[in-house]
Amino acid sequence: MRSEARTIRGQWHGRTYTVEKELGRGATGIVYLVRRGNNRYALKLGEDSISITAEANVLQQLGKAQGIILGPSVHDVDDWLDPNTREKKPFYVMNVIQGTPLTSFIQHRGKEWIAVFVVQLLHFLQHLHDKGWVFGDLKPDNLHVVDTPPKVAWFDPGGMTKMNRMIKEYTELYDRGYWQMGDRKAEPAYDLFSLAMIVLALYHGEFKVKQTLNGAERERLLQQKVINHIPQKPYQQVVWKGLSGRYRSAADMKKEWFWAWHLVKGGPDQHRRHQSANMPGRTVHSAQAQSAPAGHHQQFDHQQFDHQQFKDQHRMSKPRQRKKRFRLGKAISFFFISSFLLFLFALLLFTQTM
Amino acid sequence: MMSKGKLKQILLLTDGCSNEGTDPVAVASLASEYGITVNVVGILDGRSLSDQGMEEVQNIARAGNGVHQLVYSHNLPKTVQMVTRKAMNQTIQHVVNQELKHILGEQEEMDALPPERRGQVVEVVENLGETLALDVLILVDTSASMKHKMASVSQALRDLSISLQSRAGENRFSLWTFPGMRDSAELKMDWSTEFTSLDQWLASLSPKGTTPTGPALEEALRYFAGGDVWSDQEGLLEDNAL
Ligand SMILES: Nc1ncnc2c1ncn2[C@@H]1O[C@H](COP(=O)(O)OP(=O)(O)O)[C@@H](O)[C@H]1O
Ligand SMILES: [Mg+2]
Repeated sequence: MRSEARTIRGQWHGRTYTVEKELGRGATGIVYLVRRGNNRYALKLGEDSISITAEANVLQQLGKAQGIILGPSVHDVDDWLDPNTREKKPFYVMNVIQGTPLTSFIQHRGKEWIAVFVVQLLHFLQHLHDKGWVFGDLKPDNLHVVDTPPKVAWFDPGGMTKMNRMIKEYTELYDRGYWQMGDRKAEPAYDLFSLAMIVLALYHGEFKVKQTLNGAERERLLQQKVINHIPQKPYQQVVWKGLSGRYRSAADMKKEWFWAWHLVKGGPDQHRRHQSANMPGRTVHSAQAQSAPAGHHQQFDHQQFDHQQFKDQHRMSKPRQRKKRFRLGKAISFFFISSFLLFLFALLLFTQTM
Repeated sequence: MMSKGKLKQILLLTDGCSNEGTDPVAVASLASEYGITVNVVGILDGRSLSDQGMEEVQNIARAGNGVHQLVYSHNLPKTVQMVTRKAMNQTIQHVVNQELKHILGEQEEMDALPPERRGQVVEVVENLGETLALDVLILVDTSASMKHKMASVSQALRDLSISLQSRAGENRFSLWTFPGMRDSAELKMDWSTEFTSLDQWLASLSPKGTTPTGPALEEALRYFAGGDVWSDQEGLLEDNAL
């Protein structure tokens, strides 16, 4: 921005915004921090009226879903005549999302926060999908952590796509099409892949892939990364299921994420039992293990990670409870019987002294 | 009227300047008159395209009512997808603008509508972009300098078909390379709904050092028309519902 262009005035609604600084730039425009009166806003200035209108559209339609998780909502949509270029540029104005980028928050506050944000995002995705939208370009860059207690917030509606259409915008690493693990049709599983990838990238850091790798090689690479970089076995399982498209809805993944969290946080004996039953080395399919060099074909045994397993875990804790209650019952009846005997004894004494 | 229409695109992938035959800009102008947009992706290596090459990329796309983008080969997949989608939207917007002029009077284009009313237009554009049938003729420069970019090109094309197959509308692809063995361009794959054995086709580079972009575009245009454009204009116009 040159100095003469420090204010942006809308041609249709006549509101004037004073530019304070640039907040970031992306595929469809530059986002500025602006002031109008006493209020601060984020203003996205674009070139192409279609994409700016489409983004503002999405934000307006989502307006009612806000509150689940913080995201931008639109205050104004207008055009500005750039005095430098004499070009008409479309823009929209939204609330500012402050806070720390997700990746640096995790770096500073610790990986234990990952589980919390995953649940928040799953909750948000569940609502978004129910409304008929798929996020599309879900990635750490588009997520910030705001407030205390920390909450994850999103921006960038550029990728938001109506259910069953072609995903509008994506980022390779977080795109299942790029990994050849699915198409780019907007459906819940598309976002769940991205979310699983976010978890992996938060543990591992972002990484690149050789273009020459074919589909099977890419899948194997991902599998290796999940095994080697996510320390908790139960989380590995959920992430892998997300990556391989085996959750139909955010709600399903949320349920299993909770169970996984339960296992990670659960009693030390439970955790150990789970680990030894699922060590990747033990679940190698024997046929594959023979046909490939060692270490390359660690496979998840998908059957092992199902509801049954969790139910078993839960059942395991029930008998112990029952035993406790049983002991309590015994104590109570012992108390009653003995007090009854005591009463009889007292009665006997009483009648004898009479 | 739109529901029967078909989007027709030529996607030119090249890394340099044409040096033989007709002016490609003239061919692109002609194509756009027939409702075929010409989009160009200019592939850079370490050193950037010459100014002349860059200008040509831009001019071909402008004349062809299309979109152009310069890109390093490692960013190719995403770019090809984006250029195709943008070009689709642009073409549709163009048509919708024509319709708006009909309804609202000579001066009215989408930008002339107040922002509140653009939302609906954009929804129409996006609906059409999703559902209209799409034909993409891909024209790949296989002159010697493209050699180490071919892996990226085939990756990009495979990626494009993943994207387009996720649309509700029908897609067809055709693949041409230039210069050809005998002619200025060579048909590698006839219209079909997906790419098959891409690598094999793209591995065969041309030994010729020339880049006959103009003649190759002519060839592509002729093929698009399903015959000889110059002698059978009627057939083309009839087809051209947009
Ligand atoms: N509402 C907002 N509040 C604060 N910063 C924002 C806001 N919207 C965008 N940004 C910043 O601008 C950057 C680019 O915006 P984004 O909408 O993601 O653009 P694009 O869709 O082109 O990627 C973001 O990464 C973020 O840092
Ligand atoms: Mg962004």
